[in-house]
Amino acid sequence: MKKILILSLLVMLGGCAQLQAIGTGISLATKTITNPVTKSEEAQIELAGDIILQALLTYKRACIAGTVDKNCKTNIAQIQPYTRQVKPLIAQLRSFVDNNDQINASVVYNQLTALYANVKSVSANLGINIGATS
Amino acid sequence: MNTALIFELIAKGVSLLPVLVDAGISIKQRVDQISTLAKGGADGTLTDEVLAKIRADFDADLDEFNKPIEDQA
Repeated sequence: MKKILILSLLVMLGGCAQLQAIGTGISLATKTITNPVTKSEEAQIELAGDIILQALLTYKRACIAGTVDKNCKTNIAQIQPYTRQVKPLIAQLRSFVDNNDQINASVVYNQLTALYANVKSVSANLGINIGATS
Repeated sequence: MNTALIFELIAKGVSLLPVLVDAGISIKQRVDQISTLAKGGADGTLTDEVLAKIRADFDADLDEFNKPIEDQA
């Protein structure tokens, strides 16, 4: 019981502070054709996205365990429409980077960074602060 | 590679570890990611194998989060 209480408190309070600290300050630059998307930069945007996902997964797993707020299922359902848009965009970005199609890679890269910002914003509005990663 | 961004990502990844540990979640994948990132930053190179691992980790996390919560409860 004590462990559950501690975990709950960590996720709700300490967790929020930690999650707030996680994303702060990572900035992914807007891409242009003269500023191409390399494989390294694709890896960076995927790792930045995975940091956001890890924070959201921590919240979701705690929700399944019943250790966070009672609105957590609704909150997650409101974030998922945005995270579900990530999958096809990432698939496109990988294909364009693999084929060195820089025009389309730049377009999709910028769509992804905008989508990350949306996920962060929606999460923050729901009280799930994942910081300023964008 | 953008060294400043790599250091930022490493710092953010490390800062997530205590939360994951406290929540009882395995941090192996996260540690592997940070190691990969640090090594790539040091070498200035990124192999196709490393990129494939990064892509696979991202896909796994994205798929898990996107599953309806009712299917996992």
